Amino acid sequence: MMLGKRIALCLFLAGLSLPCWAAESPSRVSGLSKAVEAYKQGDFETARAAYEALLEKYPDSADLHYNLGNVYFKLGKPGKALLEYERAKKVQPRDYDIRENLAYVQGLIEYKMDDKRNWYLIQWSWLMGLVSWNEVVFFPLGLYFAWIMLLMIRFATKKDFKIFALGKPVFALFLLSLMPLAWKYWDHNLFREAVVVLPKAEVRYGPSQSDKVAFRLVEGLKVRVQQAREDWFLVGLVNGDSGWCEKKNLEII
Amino acid sequence: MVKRTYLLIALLLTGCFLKPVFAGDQVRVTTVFDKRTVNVAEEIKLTIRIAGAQTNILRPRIPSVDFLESYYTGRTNQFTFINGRSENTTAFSYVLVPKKPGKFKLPPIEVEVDNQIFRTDPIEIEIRDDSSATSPSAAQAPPFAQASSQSATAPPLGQVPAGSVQKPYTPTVTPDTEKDIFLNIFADKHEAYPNEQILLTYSVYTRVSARAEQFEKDPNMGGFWVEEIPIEKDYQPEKVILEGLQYLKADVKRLAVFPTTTGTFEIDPGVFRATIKKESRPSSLFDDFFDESFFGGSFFTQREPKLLTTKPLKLVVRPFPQQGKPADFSNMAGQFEMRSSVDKKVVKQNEPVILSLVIEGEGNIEMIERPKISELRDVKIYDSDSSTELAKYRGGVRGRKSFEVTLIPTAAGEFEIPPFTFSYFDPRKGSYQTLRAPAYQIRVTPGPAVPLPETLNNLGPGAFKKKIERESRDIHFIKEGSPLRETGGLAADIERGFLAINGILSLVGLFFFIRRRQEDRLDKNVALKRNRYAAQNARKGISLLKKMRVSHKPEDIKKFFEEAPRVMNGYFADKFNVSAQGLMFYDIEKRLAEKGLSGAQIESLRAFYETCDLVRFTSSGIADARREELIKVIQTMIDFLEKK
Repeated sequence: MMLGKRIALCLFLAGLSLPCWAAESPSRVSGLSKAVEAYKQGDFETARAAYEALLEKYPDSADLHYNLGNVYFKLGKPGKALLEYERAKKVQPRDYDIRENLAYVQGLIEYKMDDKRNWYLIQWSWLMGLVSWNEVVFFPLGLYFAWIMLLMIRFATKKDFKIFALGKPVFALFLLSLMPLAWKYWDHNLFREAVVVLPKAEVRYGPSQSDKVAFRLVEGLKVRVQQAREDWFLVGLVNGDSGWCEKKNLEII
Repeated sequence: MVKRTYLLIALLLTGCFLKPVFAGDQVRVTTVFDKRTVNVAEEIKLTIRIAGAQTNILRPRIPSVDFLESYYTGRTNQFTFINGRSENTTAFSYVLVPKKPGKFKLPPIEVEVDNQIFRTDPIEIEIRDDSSATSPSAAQAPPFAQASSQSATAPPLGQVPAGSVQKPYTPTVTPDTEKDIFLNIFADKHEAYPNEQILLTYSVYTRVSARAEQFEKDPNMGGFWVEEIPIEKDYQPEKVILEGLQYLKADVKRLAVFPTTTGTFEIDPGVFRATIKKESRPSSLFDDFFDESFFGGSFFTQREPKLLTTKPLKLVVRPFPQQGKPADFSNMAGQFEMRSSVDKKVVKQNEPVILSLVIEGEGNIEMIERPKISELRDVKIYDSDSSTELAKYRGGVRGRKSFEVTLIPTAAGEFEIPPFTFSYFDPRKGSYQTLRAPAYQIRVTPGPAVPLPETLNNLGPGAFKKKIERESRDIHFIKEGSPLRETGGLAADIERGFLAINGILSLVGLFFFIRRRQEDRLDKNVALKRNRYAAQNARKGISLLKKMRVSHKPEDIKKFFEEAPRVMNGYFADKFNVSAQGLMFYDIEKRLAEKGLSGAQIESLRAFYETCDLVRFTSSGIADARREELIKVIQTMIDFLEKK
């Protein structure tokens, strides 16, 4: 009886990890080899179309975003390239190639912005930039799992083992781990970042062409979208400036 | 020989007998002044005599007063044997140098003898301000213009100027003819500009056999940068005639001083200590031989200390003239030359070019700062080194300050190190002078890009060694080998797994929690707990009865009829929270009637109990179907009461 329960538990856990084996090898993905070959041949338009088609099916693939970023760079579109690198970085924030290409293309932008945020905000942003959403979610889930397991064992055994003393610190850590999670959520869903994808973008004092131009952005610069209207985004820069920019100039990361 | 032995024994015996005589002596402390009325800077000799004490005498300390300075000059012991009595006298000698005029009272001097304190009487001293009686003053030195013209021509570094040794300057000195020995301080100029060199020479003039010792108190040079010029090893005092008297003149200290700020300064000359040969003692052969050896002298000569000082020296430091002052002027005065060079004129990008700059001449070399080099586009400028070399000779101090500037071009092409200037004030010419270094054209060939440090500090000799570097930069190649996932990566899979497990565990945990709470609540209320579990326990009994029903063995049948009323009674007992043992049908009937059970059902229950009793006690056979009916009765009772 006991053995049967154990087997059932193992099967249950194995079933939960099924998505791990759900990845498809490159050879089985139609269109991927075509994209790679086109890139190698220098046919970047074909490669772009192939990678974009693949990304419709695999939107969270960091590799596809990265490769498409390379294609856009070869096509002379640094803004789109940076957009794709940023998207790839969101999934795999510590990937060497992604970070290198991102830094390289950013270095080619003629203008730069001074980061006038508080130093702790800059450091925190940098730290959060090293972990992905999935990784940030992992910690509270793991801590919650540890806490609930301790709680259940306590209920089931009705005994007071010493290990149960860990329950409170584990729960405190769980609550603490919700902070970066909240930040990431805020970063990903409330105030999303966008990249200027056209060579020049005017930022105005209001969401209409009749409003005066406050400043101009160049292709590849990153902004934070604070508010959205029909055709306009209210964007904020790290140097403290903000204004309205037409949506066509920007793409959300 | 025998006589000497007897004499020695006699002395020893005498010493033994003398001890009680010493013990009975009283200590007497007296002070002796050679004069009570003196001029400022004139010496007073003070002797403190302690008579009658045998041992353990500490040196008395002169009280600290503002009107004179005191210097301890020595201790002598005297043993006298007069008329069969002996006395031991210790004398401490001091020289007092008055500092300001007036009538003063020297407080009692404390003397500690054998842990006892003895005090002298207060001593009155009159100090007069009679400048004519003191040493030659600085005011008698040559005037400023005259002194400037006497300066030696600046020689190349490391070489003593030709005229400096052969033609030493000769100060005009008014001798203090009342004194056989005096100190004079001579300045080559009494007015100067900031950072201009002034030569100070301390000379002792003597008409008696004397020996130079050292400065008891060093001259105070606050407000000046001081470089001491050593006295030559082969220096010999010279004979000079001052107002018809022959003196031996010896330089005891030479200083090159550079005023650091403007204003009028009074230089405290300090106190120099010399010793003169005592007149009372006949000259020995050795003294005669070393008589003129001012810096040496015989060790066999008995000497008397002399403390020499003179009036403070007044120096005026004038501000630089405003007219014609160059923009790059940095308060340097003197005579200078400048030369510059670069180590290469063709370099690779990010390789260093060393610009060497040397400023040489007479003036406050140490204080010279590197001329400013304007910012250069695409060139990083580092101050890598500076060094100072000084040559001191009798005519003053000459020096050389060398600067090295490292320039690292960060871009290929050509750049020019612009001509830079160094301006100073020449007191001889009375005007500002500007030295110019030429411009240098440097060609820079392309080289690898390297990150340059902010400073060259802490960089070893390998700082500019070439490294393996990337020659160019481009984007990294596309990724071909990674498997594609429709969603996220491994982290996402784990996340989903954890999410599912946590969800399930949360539900299970919630269930456990609620159940635990219920159990806790039921544990506190037994009646409620029995009521809650009455039906559950009864159903377990029914299940048992159903299993027993299928057996046709007589003992099993009998057991069934024993078990059936037990199940029924157990249920009623739980439900009514009473003991099952004492439960009578009457009680059951009454409680069920209160619950609204019909008469037919009560009758059916009565029949249930009667049947069971009949079978148990009579062992009469009963049909199998009857057992089924009994089970149904129990079930009916449970259903009825649970609905209620």
